[in-house]
Amino acid sequence: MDHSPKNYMNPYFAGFLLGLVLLSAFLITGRGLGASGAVKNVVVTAVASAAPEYAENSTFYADFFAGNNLMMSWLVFLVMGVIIGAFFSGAMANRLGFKIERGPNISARTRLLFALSGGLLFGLGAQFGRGCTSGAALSGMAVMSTGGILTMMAIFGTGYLIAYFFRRLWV
Amino acid sequence: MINQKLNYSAALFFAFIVLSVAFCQLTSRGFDASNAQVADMLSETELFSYADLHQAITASKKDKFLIVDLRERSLFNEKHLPGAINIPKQELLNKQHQKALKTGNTILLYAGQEHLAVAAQTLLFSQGYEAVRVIPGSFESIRMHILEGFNPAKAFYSSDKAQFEFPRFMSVQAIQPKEGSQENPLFPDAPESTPIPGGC
Amino acid sequence: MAPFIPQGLINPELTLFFALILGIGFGYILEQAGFSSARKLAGVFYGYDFVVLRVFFTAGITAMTGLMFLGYLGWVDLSLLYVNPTYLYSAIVGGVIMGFGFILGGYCPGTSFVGAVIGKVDAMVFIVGSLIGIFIFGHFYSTFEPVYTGNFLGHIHIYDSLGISKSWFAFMLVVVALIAFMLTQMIEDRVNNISTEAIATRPSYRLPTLLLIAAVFIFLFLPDERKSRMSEVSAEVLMEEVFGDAAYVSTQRVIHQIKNQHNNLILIDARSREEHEYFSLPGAVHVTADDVLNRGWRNLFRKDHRMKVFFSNGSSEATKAFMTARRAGYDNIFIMDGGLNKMFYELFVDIQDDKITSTNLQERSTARFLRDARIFFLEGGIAPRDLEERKVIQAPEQSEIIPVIGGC
Repeated sequence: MDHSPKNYMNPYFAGFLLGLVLLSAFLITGRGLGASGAVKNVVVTAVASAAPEYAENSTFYADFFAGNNLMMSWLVFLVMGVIIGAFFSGAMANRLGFKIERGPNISARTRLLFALSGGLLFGLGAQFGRGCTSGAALSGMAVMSTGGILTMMAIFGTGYLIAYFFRRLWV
Repeated sequence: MINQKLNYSAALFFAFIVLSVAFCQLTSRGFDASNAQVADMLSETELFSYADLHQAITASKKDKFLIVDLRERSLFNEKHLPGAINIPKQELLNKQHQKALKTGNTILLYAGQEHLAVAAQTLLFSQGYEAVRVIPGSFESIRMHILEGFNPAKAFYSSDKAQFEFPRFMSVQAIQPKEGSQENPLFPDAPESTPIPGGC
Repeated sequence: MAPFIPQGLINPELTLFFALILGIGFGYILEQAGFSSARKLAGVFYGYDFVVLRVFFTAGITAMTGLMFLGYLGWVDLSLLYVNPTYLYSAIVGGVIMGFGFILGGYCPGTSFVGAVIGKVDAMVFIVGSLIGIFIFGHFYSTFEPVYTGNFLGHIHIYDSLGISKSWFAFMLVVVALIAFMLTQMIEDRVNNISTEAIATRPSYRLPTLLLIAAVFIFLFLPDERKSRMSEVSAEVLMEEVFGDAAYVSTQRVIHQIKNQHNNLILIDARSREEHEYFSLPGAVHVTADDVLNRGWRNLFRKDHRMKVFFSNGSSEATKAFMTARRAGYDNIFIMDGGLNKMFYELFVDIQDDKITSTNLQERSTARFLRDARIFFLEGGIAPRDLEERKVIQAPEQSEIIPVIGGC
């Protein structure tokens, strides 16, 4: 049996299918896809449960104390599905396996450091932007929302502007 | 091979859209406003009261209105409102009259009976006209309260107002549905309301 | 009509189930497209792999076109869809920070899960980073709050902000996307030194491209929602019915039904609620002209095959209701000619009892009928217990639309 990783799906076809999934989300529930909100719910639930006195003083955690179960939410279940679907795809395509992916000119440790900082920045930015690339950009494009498209342009615009200065990470 | 899948499915998707839309346009009934839009316009537009009509006829506001008499020619020739043009109601949607109607002024309709003018108003709304008002009452009442001298007491007359104290005559009341006697349960429907957005 | 859950057509308790299913599709497609690889993702900024642009743009356009199409058909209520709110500075600041995060980290939150689950350690570290980043935001929330909640412009659409129509924006977006696809393909080929033979043997995307352009092109000439449906009745037919005799049912016919407690006609009161509650005909249902199109009444107009007779004080409100119902394609709809005013006039004012002894058979029977009816009504001929035995038509329950709580 051939265990080498299979080819990736044609990107336009993947985009088309993803568009249908996004369309279905809107048709069934009225809202689009997203991811960063799920991570936020995890943070809020974890912090507020572990350190309630700290969390009570902050408006950021107000939702939790209002009695809402943030873990039983649309976004959290969506991300759980993403995990399942991605795993299934990776398994079928023989792409499973622990790996630290990095550009050819940096060490694994550097990569992990930057992954951490990149994640930190993305987590922070996604709060301001009220969404990440899936929530703001993708779903925003589908309903043509100004905020979503603005955020999308800011993400990619900034990326292009600074790409040169970080090229050693990737090329 | 993968590209074939893309080609076929995407082609199918967009072809379906193009064909459905073309089909809808071809089978459209020649309306210029949807039924829901017309229903909204009907509920929002008020009758053009005799007070307004009196003002429109006597003041110099005549140029802002196009008064249309929907009755048949012989009745129109006998007597009609000053400045009115005659479009017998069966001919309302004929091409020659459409030109006369598209002057941009507010159209005021009246007929032998009030509800016929209302029906004509509905038809004009459905053809895309927006400024169409109905002069209330039958032609008889228009004659009595406008042509033979404006009667302020009847300024807001309408055929669709109750002319009797109904309960005094008929001692029947509307039936109150009994609890649990729903033989024809209808599915619940959702009224208009704005969704409450959340955030992340 | 979509969206299904907010409109009450699907049980809202199934929302999380659908989230899971859609998420599985989402994750599967992302991984299949290669979004589990940070190098592939970052390639959009360096020219060696534009997969992000291809997948995202295509997905956005597909969903956008699909929504426009369904909105045109009237199959989705676009006003119920969640539109991301615009907080002007927060949106831009967030985007800039995320831009840094993308270049440094190589992932975004969604793709970090896709990468992490197949074993990418850098993706797992990225997730940890994002948890910290969110915590930091929460910790300094009071400092960030003015920017975060400032300049709220509403849930506005980009075409409104730009001052163009929706279909124009969609068309231009598609054109931009297609140009971007072509340009980025050329850049990518140059960066990766792809041979000209390899390029030549690629299959062409001409067919779906043409159809996509055609699809957004026709929307330039269409209204946002179509003006009429196939099931509707034409203006000519409406005219013939309402200006002729076909649309009308006489007051005597209705009197006959009430007096003999028959059930052949469904009497529909088209007047206001106050008037209906003050007095109405026995067994009358209350449906005003603007309530006719309410989906809850569909069963009444479609499944019940009895004659549906609208009435009002005169005939005006009843005529409005008639026109709306008939245009929608409902059959067996009528107007009670002259309304309650005429009915009462005939019964109680224009008393022609002398005609009972007339030589004309028609006059005789009509006069007798009216006299009997008058006595019947004045003496409260309809006893309450008889009323209960009639079939009762219940108004549809006014259930709330379940509000869509959106978010990323």
